[in-house]
Amino acid sequence: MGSMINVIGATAIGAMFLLTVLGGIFNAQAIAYNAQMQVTLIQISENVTEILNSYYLSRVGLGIYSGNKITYASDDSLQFLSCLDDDIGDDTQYTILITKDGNDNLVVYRDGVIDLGPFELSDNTDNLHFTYYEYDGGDIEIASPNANWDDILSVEVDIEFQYQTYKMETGVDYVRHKIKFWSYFKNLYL
Amino acid sequence: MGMIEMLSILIAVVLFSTILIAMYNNISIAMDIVYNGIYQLQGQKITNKYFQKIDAELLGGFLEFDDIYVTYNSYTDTETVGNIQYNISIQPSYCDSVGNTVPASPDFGFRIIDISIWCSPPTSSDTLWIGTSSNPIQKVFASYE
Repeated sequence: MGSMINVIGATAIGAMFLLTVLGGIFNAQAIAYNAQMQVTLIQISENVTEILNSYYLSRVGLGIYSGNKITYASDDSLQFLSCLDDDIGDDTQYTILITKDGNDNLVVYRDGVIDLGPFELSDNTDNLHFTYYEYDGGDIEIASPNANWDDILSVEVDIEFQYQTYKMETGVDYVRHKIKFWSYFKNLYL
Repeated sequence: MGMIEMLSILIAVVLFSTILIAMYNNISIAMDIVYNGIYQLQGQKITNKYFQKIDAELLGGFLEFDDIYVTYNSYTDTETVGNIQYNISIQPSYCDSVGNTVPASPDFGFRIIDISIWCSPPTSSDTLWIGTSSNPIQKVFASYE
């Protein structure tokens, strides 16, 4: 009887030890996986912001010689005209809209057709925020940008991407990447 | 169970635990590297902001080329992104066409802008530098005239 109790006790202690070890390993794997997903999210979101900045925002008003270059400006949307990729010299003007779609994804439209995206933004309310500036001895924030398109010379873009991943306790976790970048519209400065 | 077996099991448990601790430690180091990378990328965007700003203001005629040195001499500023404060330090210098610093006279028509940024990441007790005073992020501006 005594040895039976010893065996049961040893089994119970061994099981607890094994469960702790396995739980620890599983948790470590989940953390490592999340780190890997964070790196992937950083790579993708950095690429997206680089395209936004270098391909779209740096060409606001490119090849537009009369009328408004910026045609709509709000906290979470910016629409402008540009001869975006005039590689054949046909001076085609496009209407570019950077905004969020109905599912809170970042999307860039060219003449109403999706040109870039959609990319998942975080569930925070300020996941895409434009702050517009004019120049008056320094960069001055424009309080009502949509009423003062002609004054806009630069924009500060706050953007937060997210990716759904895994957490042991809740089952669902999110990795997020918040980026702030600036674009000075050189075509509007000229 | 004898005393020796009991001790052997305890030692085995302790030794095995060190593997788990080392594993968590390595993951923690990897996470630090990942997060420091995020702060460095953000710091680079801040330097890009100032380079763009100077370029645009020169193009627009809001800033005279000769005024770059006076305007940005020992210039400091802060920028907050995601609760992290980035401390910015800018130092312009007179330079030649390849960025070698030269005396103010004669003026070769080039200015080099040095930017260094530091922040204190919440995940680390060390100060994180994005460009330093001895190795700053640099850009050379040329006079249009």
